[in-house]
Amino acid sequence: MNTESRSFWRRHRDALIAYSIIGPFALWFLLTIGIPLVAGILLAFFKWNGMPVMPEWVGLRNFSFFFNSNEYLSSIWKQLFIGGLCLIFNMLISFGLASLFNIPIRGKGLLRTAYYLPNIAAVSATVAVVVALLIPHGGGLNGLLTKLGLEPIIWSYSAGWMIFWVVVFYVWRNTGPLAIIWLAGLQSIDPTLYEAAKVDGANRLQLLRYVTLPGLRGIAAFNFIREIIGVMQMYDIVMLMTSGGPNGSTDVLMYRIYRDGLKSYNFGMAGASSVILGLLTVLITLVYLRLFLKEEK
Amino acid sequence: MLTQYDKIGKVKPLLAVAMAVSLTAGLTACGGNNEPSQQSNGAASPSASNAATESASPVEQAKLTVVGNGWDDASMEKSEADAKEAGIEVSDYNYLARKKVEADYPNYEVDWQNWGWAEQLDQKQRAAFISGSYPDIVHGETFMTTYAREGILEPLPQDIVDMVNPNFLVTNADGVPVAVSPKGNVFLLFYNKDLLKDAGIDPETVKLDTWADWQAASDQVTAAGNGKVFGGGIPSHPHLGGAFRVYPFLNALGGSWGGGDEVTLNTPEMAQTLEFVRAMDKNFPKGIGNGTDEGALYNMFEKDKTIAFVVNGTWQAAGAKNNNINYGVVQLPKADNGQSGNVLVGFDYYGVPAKSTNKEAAFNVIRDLVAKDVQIEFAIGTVTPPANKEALAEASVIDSNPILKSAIDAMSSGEIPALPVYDQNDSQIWDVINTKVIAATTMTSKSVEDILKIGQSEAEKYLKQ
Repeated sequence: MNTESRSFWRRHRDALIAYSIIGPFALWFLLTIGIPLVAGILLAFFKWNGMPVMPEWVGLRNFSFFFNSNEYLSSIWKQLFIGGLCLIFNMLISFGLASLFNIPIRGKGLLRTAYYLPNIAAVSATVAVVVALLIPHGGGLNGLLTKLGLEPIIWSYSAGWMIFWVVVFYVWRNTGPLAIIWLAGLQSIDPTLYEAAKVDGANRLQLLRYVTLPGLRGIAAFNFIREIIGVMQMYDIVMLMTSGGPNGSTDVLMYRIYRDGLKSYNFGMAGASSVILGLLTVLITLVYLRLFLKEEK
Repeated sequence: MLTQYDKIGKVKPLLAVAMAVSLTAGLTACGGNNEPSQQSNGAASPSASNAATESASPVEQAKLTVVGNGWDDASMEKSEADAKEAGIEVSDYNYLARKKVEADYPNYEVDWQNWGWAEQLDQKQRAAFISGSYPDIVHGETFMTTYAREGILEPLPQDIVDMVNPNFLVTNADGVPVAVSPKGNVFLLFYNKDLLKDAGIDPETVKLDTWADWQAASDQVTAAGNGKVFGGGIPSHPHLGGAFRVYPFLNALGGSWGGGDEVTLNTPEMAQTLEFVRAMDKNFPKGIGNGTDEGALYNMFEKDKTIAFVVNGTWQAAGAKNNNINYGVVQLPKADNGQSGNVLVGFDYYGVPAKSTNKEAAFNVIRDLVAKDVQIEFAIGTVTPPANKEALAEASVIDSNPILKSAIDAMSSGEIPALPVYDQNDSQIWDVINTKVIAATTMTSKSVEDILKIGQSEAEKYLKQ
């Protein structure tokens, strides 16, 4: 090794070590996220059916079709509405659960595991159970209603009921992991703050308002962003439970993207819808962060 | 000037990346039985398709990759284990074909692949086309029509075309057969004789020749059932399970839903069909005929024995037999015009990609798949109509089961349509047909006229995007 290269190594030693550590991860990121992201965005400007034929450049035609189609526009609203309900209930219920997990009771480890389990089970298998329960004639829920002397409900005819069950299933499946993150936040709050507040005469509600919630602000931001991304990508439950019905009332945008891309092989339309959904997700996240940071200041 | 293929060659790496990226989510989500194998072309001489009409000699060497439904090693073992447990012979067509190929062409080195079914299979095959790793045989259901239309598949040798009933073929844009299914099915009307008897109908003399006959019998069972037993009607599930069962009735009136660059929903024939579907739905408990889970309906027929009539393929025979149902079966009732209708269902088409370098050997595998002896064994063992014309006419097949006879009669009675495939936004158009037309007919009280008008307009918009 000559003097020049030795001095290059000495001068850049730390940087080279750092790059050699992050290099493989950066490459992995580029291959699995960077290139797919760019390819997905590019697809939005082409018409291509996934066959070995030349993709046709169509410019903004896919976006124009999107914004001139009531079905696509309403599916954004359905994604926001159903996703919004999932998010709100999941955030609230998981916070309640985390508070419960935080109480020093016997068997709380078992309780935490029990709430986490639905997230491990396959969506397809667990949705099949819900679908079986909702069968109008001979299904478990209507059987129960009949035993209670109530009229059976034809769940699948009602948009309201089907949205309700989608939300219930989503919350049931996702509340455990979120509760664990809340719990980590709760346990990171300095206990002396509670003791000081108690000395100052704070009641339980005031402890929550002035100690717990401010202490969880960072965790809340993380959970919110995580949930926003989750609900904006939610389609599997809809696909398996309602197939977008009744009459398209649960046909969320992500389910349309799935059908456009992997069933109709209309990659252009799937790309355009994905770009719009992605931008919307980023926009909501930015608005939230702006509000959050403003409050922080 | 660059030709279309030159241009494709130049952008192939980009296409491959885009396809891989776009399909990653789907493939990883679906999982799979086997990974697509390495391209294994090369040993056989790349013969022209007309040369393939001559069968290869058994000593000829060939190395090929063939994608099928149940001829990979794991499926073969499972078929053998299942048959052993049930104390029967294996009658799966893929199993029988592989055994025959191994006996007929011992020098073929075949990589027997199974890439799953439906979207998962389609995704893997398209990814193989894009990457240039063409298997020597591809297969599947309706998407084979798309491959045919795109010119991916090599025309079938004439001897294979001549071997099979034309209903089992898929043609390309020029009308040339390019794929063949070793099996297929049509719909029949099954009924529970005991339930008919309970409703005061003699099951041995019941008239089920026309729509009106069937409706009268079904109404009578529902009326006598007091909310516990139902006659049954035409399912209108918000997925293809409904479309498959509605289409035969539309076909009986001479109607269709178009296909390719045309969609025809708002027609007088469709209006008449939907009125009948709506009238017959009263013979289902609410939410059963149009539920997302069609299993509930067939459970009521097979296990609960609370539905008297079901429209189904020959596979219903096994369910009825296993559940000790005293059942009868007839052809689907005729419309008022005296015409009967049906639709092709349960097909698994096999074709050879034009880019395969082992076409001759691949066609030999397909020849064995539709060979008479394989087809007879498969048809009798599974109660499913075979493609081979001689097997369809074979007395041992026809006499083996009355249900198989009914299906073969229907299959042999003329040209039966398949559900249409649309050039553009196929899945979105099917969603309109399934949910906003068929299911909406029985789930809402909207007029059929309005349903069809909205459906037509929405489907056309997708088709013309």
